[in-house]
Amino acid sequence: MKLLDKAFRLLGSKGARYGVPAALLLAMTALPFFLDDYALHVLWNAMFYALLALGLNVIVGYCGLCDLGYAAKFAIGAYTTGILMKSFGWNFWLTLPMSILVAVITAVIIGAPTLKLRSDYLAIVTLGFAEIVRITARNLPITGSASGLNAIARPSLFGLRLTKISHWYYVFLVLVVIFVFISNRLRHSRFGRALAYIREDEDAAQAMGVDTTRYKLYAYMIGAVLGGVTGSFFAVTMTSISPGSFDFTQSANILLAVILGGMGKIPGVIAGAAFFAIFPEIFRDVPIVGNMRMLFFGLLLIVVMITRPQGFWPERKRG
Amino acid sequence: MRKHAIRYIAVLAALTLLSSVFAGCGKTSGGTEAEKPITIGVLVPLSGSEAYYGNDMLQSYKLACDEINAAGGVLGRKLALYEADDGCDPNMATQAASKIIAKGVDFVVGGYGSGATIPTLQLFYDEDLLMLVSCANSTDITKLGLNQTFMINSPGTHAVITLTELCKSLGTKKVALIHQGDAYTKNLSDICEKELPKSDIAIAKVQVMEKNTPDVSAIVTAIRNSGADFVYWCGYHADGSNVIKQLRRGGYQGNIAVGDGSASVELISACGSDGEGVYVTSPPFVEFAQGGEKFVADYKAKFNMAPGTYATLCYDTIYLLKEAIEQAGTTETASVRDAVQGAAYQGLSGMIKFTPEREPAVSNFIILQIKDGKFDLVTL
Repeated sequence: MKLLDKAFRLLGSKGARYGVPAALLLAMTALPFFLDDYALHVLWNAMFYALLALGLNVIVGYCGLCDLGYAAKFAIGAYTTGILMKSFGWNFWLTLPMSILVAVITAVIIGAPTLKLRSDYLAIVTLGFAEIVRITARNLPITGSASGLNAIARPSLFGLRLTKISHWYYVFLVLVVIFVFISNRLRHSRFGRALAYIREDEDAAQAMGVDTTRYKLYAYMIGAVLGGVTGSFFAVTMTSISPGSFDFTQSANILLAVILGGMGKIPGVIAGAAFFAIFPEIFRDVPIVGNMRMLFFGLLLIVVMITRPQGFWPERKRG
Repeated sequence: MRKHAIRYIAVLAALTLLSSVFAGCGKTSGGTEAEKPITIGVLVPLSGSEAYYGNDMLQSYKLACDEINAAGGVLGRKLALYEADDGCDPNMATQAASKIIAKGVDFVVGGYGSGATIPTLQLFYDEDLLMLVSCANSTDITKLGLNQTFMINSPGTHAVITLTELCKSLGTKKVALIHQGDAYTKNLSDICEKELPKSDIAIAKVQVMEKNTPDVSAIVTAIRNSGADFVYWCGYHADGSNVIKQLRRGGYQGNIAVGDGSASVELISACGSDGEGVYVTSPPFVEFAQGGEKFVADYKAKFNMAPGTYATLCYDTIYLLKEAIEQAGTTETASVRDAVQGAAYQGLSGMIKFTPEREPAVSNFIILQIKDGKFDLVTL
């Protein structure tokens, strides 16, 4: 385990800090020329989870709030885009600002009353809210009730209609870069330090003059916006969305990806999400192990949690 | 020492991961067009709660393919199946669809749950692939308007026609409906709500029961108080058996019927004596099909288990495809599509024909009743 920490410290050193991500990005850009559609789809799925995990990381990793209903944020984005495109004939790119706006409004509605309290209450409210969103979506005619919204049009970008998985691979790669940039800037800003303070000791933060309720609400809003934007892109990539995609398991998976990867650490969170998306697929076609892969997956999660309770690649505490 | 062991395991795991990534990259090649088998992609749930059905579907496809191959194949070429696990989940299903597309298959069959099947249809359509949906039967499938998607299984509207006939013959006045909130069961419940009142049968109550709800007492009480003399369970057998047991133990005396999601022999064993007399609006079970004995015997000999609910539909799907390819004389999608559209194939599940909307023109639903721990065919 010490070896792992040493490796991570090496990756965090000055030379590697920019070199390794750049090399990785270059490799990811080149991959579609070598891989088939299925492999690209698996990688797309990994990036999709990485986006969700990065969004949740702002709430859970940076601010230390417990959100058990992140699927609702991403459902709201997906449905906002879906409804505006299907029922009102909007262009996809115009739905993005709306999706952000709706995410902010819902975050304020949920966050404003609960974030004044200790974070445990947020966990319960978010859990309940996620169920409300899912069940509402299942029963309203405008959300297509249980069968959801189908045949959502594929958008165009600079005249190119995005239909192939390789197109979406690049779109999501760009999104990951943007999300990483945002997360990174947040982390190293005054705002990010305030969030870390709240996470470590809320009372002390308040005593030092940090307006904890307001900062927590901002963190929650940013997390919701990132989730909403991811949801919007999810809707047009899949071309159909249904309440089944936004159940509690989805929320739990995203949360697990963040915790498993290492809360607050951007590469850790991405690694956690990638692991979550890729692991079950890789072992699918391996004989014998294939049928029991979810069992091994569970065991591996337990092993990681026992040997590295702070996550696979945790944030290093500064002295 | 312990630390070393963990490290070695980690390295080993990483190596396995890497090697399987690269193993998956190799694309298949070789063989001329005429020698190459006709590859059929199979989209079925092979993991998760619906794996039993997915496995049954896959085995039925296999049986049909093996028979056809033993008889010389289609247009002199063998049939080969390539299955992908959709887990009955929309996200996993699109991934599975990409896997099938990446394999470069000629046709696609399968599709168990409508919720998981619908998102894949556009993907197949974009790749100019013909998709024969064997089981999923929500009418939303054809509403997408993709002219290369055909529904083999009768949609919910057909089930409700059969149900209405059953209700009428039993003199039913008030029906209580229970669904599980997903695309398939809610769709069925919605159709009942719309169609039954047209035959002067009132709807007492529509209940929603989430999957894996352990306590159903609230629903049982609500149904008993509603004065319904007929309960139609639109959901799946796992929760259905629980509802039936609790209804009977709660003193409910009226008739109970279940939809095709519960048409499984597992329902009988799970319900025990409480299941006696329960009606099923069922897909064409092979035991009750004409000429089904040979199929049952062959299936048992090959897989050492009894064929399941959708076995005949899947078996017929492959034969329908074979006929269509032979009629078209090519594996080209457009020609085979036209041949399927015009097909009139007499299969184990009955006559397979399509409406211009690519839905089945002939209903293949039958009514069964549990009697002495067995399904019995009911003729009205």
